[in-house]
Amino acid sequence: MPLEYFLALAAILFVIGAYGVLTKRNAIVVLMSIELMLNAANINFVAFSSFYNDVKGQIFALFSIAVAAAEVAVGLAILLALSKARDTINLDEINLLRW
Amino acid sequence: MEWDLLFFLIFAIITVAAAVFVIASKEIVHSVMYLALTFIGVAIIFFFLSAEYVAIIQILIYVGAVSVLMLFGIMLTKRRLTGGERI
Repeated sequence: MPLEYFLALAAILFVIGAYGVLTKRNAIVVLMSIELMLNAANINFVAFSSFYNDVKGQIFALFSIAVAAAEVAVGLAILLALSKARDTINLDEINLLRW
Repeated sequence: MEWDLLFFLIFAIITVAAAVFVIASKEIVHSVMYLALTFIGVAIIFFFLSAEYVAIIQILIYVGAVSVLMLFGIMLTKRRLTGGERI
């Protein structure tokens, strides 16, 4: 299979995740869309590492998975504290850090 | 058509359709279920790229940990189920 198929799949997943980040109002759905975009980046890493016979890409993908897991844990902790303090997780109503 | 290309297309279409349903689904718990299906599809794509270790780690961390963490986040935050807008 050519490399372009995997790159096209990763691009489609990334565009879906970016659309979800830009349009959704629920903060948890935004976190899920961020996970979709990180998965698209991982597909790119592993595809290039497989097609160039270099294992460094897979190591980068493992680091990326670990960072993504830590990121979703911290993000959900912030959302729980926010929903306890402000009683909402709708991103339109959260303008505490507005400039 | 080669068999591996056929299976790749099948799993790629399943993955993309599940990702679309994550965004399009009205009920947020269904969104998490489709997200787990997307992660499994990505892990199968990793198997096609002969990266078995990354695929197994993907299933362990994403399907096992991140999805459950998302479910806990949904259950512990307030969402409008009846009345108002359902997001």
